[in-house]
Amino acid sequence: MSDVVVTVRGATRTYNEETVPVHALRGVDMDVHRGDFVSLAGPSGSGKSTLLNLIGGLDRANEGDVVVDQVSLSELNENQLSDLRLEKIGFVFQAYNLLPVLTAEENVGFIMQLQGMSRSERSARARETLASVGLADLADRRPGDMSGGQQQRVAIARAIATRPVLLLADEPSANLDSGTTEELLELLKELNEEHGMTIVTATHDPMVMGYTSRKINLRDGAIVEES
Amino acid sequence: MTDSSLTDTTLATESVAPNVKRATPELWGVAWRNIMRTSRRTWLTASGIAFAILLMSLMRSLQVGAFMGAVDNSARIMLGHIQLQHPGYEDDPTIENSIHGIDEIIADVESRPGVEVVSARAQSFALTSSGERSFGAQVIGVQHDKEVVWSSLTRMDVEGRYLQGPGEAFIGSALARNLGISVGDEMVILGTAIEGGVAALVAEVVGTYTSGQPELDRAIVQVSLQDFQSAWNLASDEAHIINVIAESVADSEQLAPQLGRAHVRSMNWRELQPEMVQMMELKLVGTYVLFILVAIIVIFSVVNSFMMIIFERTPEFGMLMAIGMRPHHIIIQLQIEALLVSLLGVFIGLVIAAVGIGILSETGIALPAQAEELTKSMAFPDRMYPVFSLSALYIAIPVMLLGTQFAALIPGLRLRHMHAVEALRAAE
Repeated sequence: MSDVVVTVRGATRTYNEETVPVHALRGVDMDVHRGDFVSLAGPSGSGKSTLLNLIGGLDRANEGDVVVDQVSLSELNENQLSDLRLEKIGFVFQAYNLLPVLTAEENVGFIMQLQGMSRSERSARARETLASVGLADLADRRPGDMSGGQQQRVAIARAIATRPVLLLADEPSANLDSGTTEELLELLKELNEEHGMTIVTATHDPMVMGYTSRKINLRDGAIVEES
Repeated sequence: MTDSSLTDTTLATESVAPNVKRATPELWGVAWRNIMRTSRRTWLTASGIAFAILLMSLMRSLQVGAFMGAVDNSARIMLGHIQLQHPGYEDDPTIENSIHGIDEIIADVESRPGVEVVSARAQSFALTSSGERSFGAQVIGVQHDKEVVWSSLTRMDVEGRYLQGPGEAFIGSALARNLGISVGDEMVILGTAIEGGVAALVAEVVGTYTSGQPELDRAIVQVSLQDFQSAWNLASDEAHIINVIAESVADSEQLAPQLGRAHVRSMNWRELQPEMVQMMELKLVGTYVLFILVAIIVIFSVVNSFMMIIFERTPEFGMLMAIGMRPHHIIIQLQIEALLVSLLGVFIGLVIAAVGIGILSETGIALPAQAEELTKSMAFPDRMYPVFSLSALYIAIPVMLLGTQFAALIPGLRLRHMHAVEALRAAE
């Protein structure tokens, strides 16, 4: 098993906004190793979310390539990209993006449902994962009956329940207060340190950056600093 | 962090091959919850579909009820529900094209379940005259004791009485007026008997009727069957038509094919009243046109609903694509939601239609007094009793189900070009 989970080489992404092209990424190179907890930091428009989307297979580079778990994303069609996301990548979104009609358990089990796992197996795993993020008692609640922090925990449980190779989090703390953000970061840190989960997060929150083991600063679509 | 930690098992690396087909049946439950998320919109859309189904059911049931009533009324005036004839009589109604052994045939038919009464007729065109006046008419020899049981002509605004035996005639009021005769007068009937002989009959007019249908009132003379057989040289077991009255029009549909035999043709009401069949078909076309117009309006409302759904749930669809759901699976989920809405509407429409038509089929709907002349001339009953018609639903239900699927698919196809990142941004 390779130690490198993500390889980005010469990734360029340009958006054609009417007549003026916007260079979101300009030939970015980076590697993410198994067990890394990486923050992509930078001001708005620096390209951190674009880079995260390229790594997650949600967007395609105009030039260069992204390899996730030894699979070159540029060689995959849209359906193959969907399957790769379903199998290998967990997503945590800024706005939680839980399905409002499903309970916490059903939200966590939804991806496993798409994967074709049996109802009993995914129910057991969803409850186990919810318990692991401290929401054992809220498994039957719907998102509308939960706080923002609780919803984000459900979103994390949904992302990790399928045992992905890589967890991507886009501004996970953007809608949370500082206390809830700290709890969330402790949870991510435990996932990373105790269970070896590879995590890449895009953020402009210094508190988030303080918890990650690697910090990559971007500015104007290029990596300017790495520590 | 929490008191319950992640276990090694929880995070054990294990590749799970996607099998979205297996997941599809479980999307039904999610789809139901999704349509109930905006319950007011769902109920409104379902109500539109229900209205279209109700409209079609009600209109068609009223039509079928009215036409079945008209068919029954018309059959009970003169024609009967079923007629047994010589095979050549329909195209060549000559005196020679008769059927023999009518007593055995009548006994056999009367023994069948669903048969109310059976009677024979012999008939021919003849010249009727009184004094200096002569008019052509159809002379019908009837089994008057049976005819009086089923033929409403015998009770239509009668002056005098109906036939009670030989030597009597029962004629239309217009013919009586044309001949210048009334009840108690004698009339002479001259016709062509079998093998070109002369058929001559003198009968006393014992009654006249006024049906309101000019062709009946000015051209029909009824005499007893014995008088007719004697005057036209027919055998005593010979006649031209055996009229069968069934307990209902529906019974007659089942009976008719069973009654034919050697040298005897069985004709059902559709063959006897082709103009009624044509009118029903014409009305059905009108009903379908109206239904299609309503269906188009409903389908447009479904398109609108699903455009709203896609607009409102764009971030959700972005998330579903991001976690690995393919666009066509999201479209399938939307189609399932559309199917559930349409099934809900169809169910509501059918329940309301069944209850409403059930009640109306018992109470009937009184026709307005202004329609009296029309109903009389068309043999329509004075009250309409709707009959639940499944035939209309064979088209209405598939049209609504497929129309709703099509309506949901139009906005749904936008998902094929939806970009997960842009869809997710719609939430920001």
